[in-house]
This record gives sequence, C-alpha cells and structure tokens, in this order.
Amino acid sequence: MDQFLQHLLNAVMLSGTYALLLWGGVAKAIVTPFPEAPLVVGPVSISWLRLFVLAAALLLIGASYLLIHRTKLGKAMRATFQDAETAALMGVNIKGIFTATFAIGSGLAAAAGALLGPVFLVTPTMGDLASLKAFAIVILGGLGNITGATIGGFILAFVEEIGAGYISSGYRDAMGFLIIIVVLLFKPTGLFARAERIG
Amino acid sequence: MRQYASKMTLAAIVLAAGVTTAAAQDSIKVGVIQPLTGAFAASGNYVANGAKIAADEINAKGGVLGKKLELVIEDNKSNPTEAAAVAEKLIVRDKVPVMMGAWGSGFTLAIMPKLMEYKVPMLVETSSAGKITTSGNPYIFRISPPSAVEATAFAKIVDRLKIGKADFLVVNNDWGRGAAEDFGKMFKEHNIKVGLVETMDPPAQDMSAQLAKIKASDADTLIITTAVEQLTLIFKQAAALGLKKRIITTGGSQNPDQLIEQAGAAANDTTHITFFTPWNPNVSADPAMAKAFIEEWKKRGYPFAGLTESFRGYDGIRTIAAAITKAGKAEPEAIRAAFWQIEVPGMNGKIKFEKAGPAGQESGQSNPGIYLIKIENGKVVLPNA
Repeated sequence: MDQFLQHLLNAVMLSGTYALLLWGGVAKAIVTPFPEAPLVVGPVSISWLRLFVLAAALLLIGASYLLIHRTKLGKAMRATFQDAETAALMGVNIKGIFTATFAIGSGLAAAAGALLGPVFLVTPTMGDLASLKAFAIVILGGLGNITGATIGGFILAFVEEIGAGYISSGYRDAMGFLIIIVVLLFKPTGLFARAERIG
Repeated sequence: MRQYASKMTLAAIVLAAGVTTAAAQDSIKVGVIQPLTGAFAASGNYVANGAKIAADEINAKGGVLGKKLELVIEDNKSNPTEAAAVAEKLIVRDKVPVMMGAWGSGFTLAIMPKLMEYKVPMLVETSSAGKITTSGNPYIFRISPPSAVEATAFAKIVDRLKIGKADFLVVNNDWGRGAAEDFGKMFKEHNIKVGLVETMDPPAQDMSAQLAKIKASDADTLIITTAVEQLTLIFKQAAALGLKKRIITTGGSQNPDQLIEQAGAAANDTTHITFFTPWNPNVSADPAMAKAFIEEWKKRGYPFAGLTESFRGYDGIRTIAAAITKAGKAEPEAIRAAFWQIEVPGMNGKIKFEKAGPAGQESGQSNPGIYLIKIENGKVVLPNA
C-alpha cells in the first residue's frame, strides 16, 4: 500500500505539471458537432451540448450503479469496502479490487473531463474546481454511496445556482464550502448514510 | 577513490557556480512578474514574450550602459500571495534594481508594500485599478491607463452609442470592481442609468446564473470586464442562453483574435475597448515601430491574438532600459529618480510620467490612447473613430 500511495501521489502531482509542460498554460477550446443555437422552450434556453453532457452523465451514473449493485465485481467491491480483512478471508482478491476500483474511478473522472472540456475551456487546472465540489458532494452524500453522491450532486448544483442567482453571484463557488460546513455540523455521515459499519 | 571523486565533483560544481556568477556580473537584471499559469495565463505569457522581444532588441543594439539586459521572469500563478512572494525573491535573492509587473491589479497591489519596504521601483504595464497610483507609493510607475482614464476616453464617444441603461458583469477583484465603479460614475454623468452589477470569481467557469439575471433585466447594454478566458466562456454561455443585448468589453485584455478562435460565432457583434490595434498598425502612434514589432512577433511564431497585450511588455522593458540609461547606474534609487525624467515613444502614445496621488509620495502615471473595435462575422473591424 505504501508503494502504491507513493506512486499515486507522484501521478497526481506530476500529471498537472506534465500537462502544463506539454500543452502550455493558455486555455484551449474544443469544437463540438452541436449547433451553436440553443434549444428554446418557452422562456428557457438550453444548449444542445449541455443536454448531451447530461444524457452522457446519467448513462455513466446508471452504468456505475448497475456495476456496483448488480454484478459480482460490484459485490466484491462492496464487501471490501465494508470490511477489507473479512472480505480477504472470504476469498476476495482485495488488492485486485483496489486496483479495479481506482481504474474505474479514474475512467469516470476522465469521462467527466472529456464531457466538460467543450462546455468550458481546457486548461491544466480545469479539474481543481471540480475536485473541490466533489469533496462537498461526497460529504453530502456519504462516502461509498453512489445514489447519495448523485442526489448530493444535484443538491449542490441547485444550491449554487439559487445562491448565485438570488443571494450573491460572487459567492457561487463558496456555496460548496457552506454545504460542507452545514452537513458536518448536523449530519457528519452524510444525508443518505446507511447505518452500517465501515472499515 | 569514491571520496576523491565526490570531492572533485564538489570542487567542479563550486568552480562552475563561480564562473557563472562572474559572467552574470556583466548583465543588468530586470525582474518581470507575470501570471504565466492560472486564470490569466494567456495574458501573462503574451506580456512576457513582448518583454523578451524588447530585451533582445536592446541587447542587439549594445545593451544598457554597455551591459546585457537580463530579464528574470517569474510566475505569480494568477495569485496575489504568490505575486508578493516572487517579488520578494527577485529583490532579495536576484537583487534586481527594478521590476515590471504584475499584470493583474490585485497582484500589483499585493507587491506594493514590498516596494516600499525594499525601496525598489516597479513599472506597471497592465493593471488598471485606480488605487495603484493614488495610494502614495513613490515606487510605482504605470504606463497602462487606470479605469478612470479608460472611462474618460470612452466618454468621448459614449453619447454616439446611445446607451439607455447598462448592466455590469465584472471579475471580482480590484480590476473588475474598479472598472465598474469608474465606468458607472462616467455613465451617471452622461445620464446613462446603471442597472445590475454582477461579479464573478476569477477562476469561475460557469456564469450562467449571472447571465440569466442579466438576460431578465431591462438594460440594453452589458459592460463586461475580465480577461480573454472568462470572456470566451461568457460569450458561449450568453449565446446558449439567447442573450440579445449589446455587449461592450473593457480592460484591454480581450485578445479579440483568441476570442474569435475560441468562442466562434458567439463573439460576433461585440464591441471592445483596446489599447493597441495590430490589425491596422497605421492608426497607432508610431506605425513604423508597430509594424516592426508585429513582424518580430510573427517571426517568433507567437499567436497573433497576443499582440493586443504583448506591446505592454515591449513598451515596459524599453521604458525601463531608458530609465537605467538616464540613471547612469543600475541602482534602485537612481532608476526611480530617472523615471521622472524620461520620455519614451510608446506603441500607443508618448510615455511620460505625470504625478498622481497624494503630494510628496506621488506615483508616476502615463496616459496612452484607446481604440474601440468590433467583431463582425468572425473578423475584427475598426469603426470610424
């Protein structure tokens, strides 16, 4: 585990730096096949690109949920998460599970980056803001809880938009921190945590 | 044997270090602080590259006081704390007698106390917050116009644009808020109503909430102050929302060609207040110098879009070189005194510092010209001024 963590830290720190070295700090835009004109329904206009991102995200969330709750690999993952030692005793290859989980997580993060790249701009630090919000969402939804995280994500988005729209536009990104503080104060295990032992 | 080898290596390294420092005595160091990474990386790199062109040009003609001009370029990471830290490093470790920086008003303001502490002058090439030259810091010499001057210059043509009511969407730092304040004041003097003043965090990528509010307002014009990355995102998101107001941007960091390239059709029919017009060097204050600079920029393979900001790095270094020459020595106090005595032909007007700020502790401010340009059908158009 020690070696693995070392490599992990290296990868995280260096990937941002490598990206900077390879592509420079200037932002880049990505061309999409969607029309520029938005879809207008009454007073609401949504861009086609964002609809596509929403659809793709829901698909990926659905696939992850199915993987974790309906497959053998998913069962092994849940078992390892509940109690790694007992799972190992039951014959689960926990080192393999860690690797597989990490790989799937990284894959999902990469997909998120690819989906958001055209919506915003591509820069070496484009993931920093998202990582921060991911923290807030995980605290809101509970660690290890996919449904909780999904609903938590929607809650964070609503709170941000309403906060930015009706309270103060400058504090939009701070709403995530606000949520973290409130949840940690009143329900530290997250809004949707089940009563089960972890670890 | 091993001990001998390592001792020899150590000796070699020390000798090499000695040789390099001896060589460095023959050059005059100028500190350059710019955002090379972070939210304003595009602009920072353009200015730094403009500065390099100036330094190379000066060195090709024999340097300054017979020595080579050496730029020590540091990255402030688009962060005020970093800016103050690298300024201190340049002054204390590199012992630079003069600096140029730091692009963003917030970064420049963070460095100003260090200038007072170490008594080193800094030339401000881009920042536009009024506070920079009115806080009583005699080590600041600015060649870029403060937002108040931008607003005054804009006032000359604002009546022609027939704006009834304007909303502001500005980046939430000294630059953006200063611009909203100065332009707002000017609008009130011209009987233009000011509506919403919305702000956005410098690294923010999603401005839909602010844009939705602005779309619902009754103003006919939207004034935006921020740099090219956020402008690209704003234009794309405004187009997605179906925002149909007239858009005017201020601040000079729009890099219109990059906007056209990255925002595409969303950038059409927008108006911009800029300080240099590389699309038509003939209207600039010194057409020959402008053309030569543009040629050198293209020769180095830098993106054309960067010309609208890089000229500031170019002008800044040339002004610093003139001050060092006038001072006769590369000492901070002599250079500071020399700044007041020089007059340099700049890319958008004569550079000569006037006193600004509280008496006895004035900063230097030079007053350049501004140009209004429009983007139409994916091209930059200079309307009849």
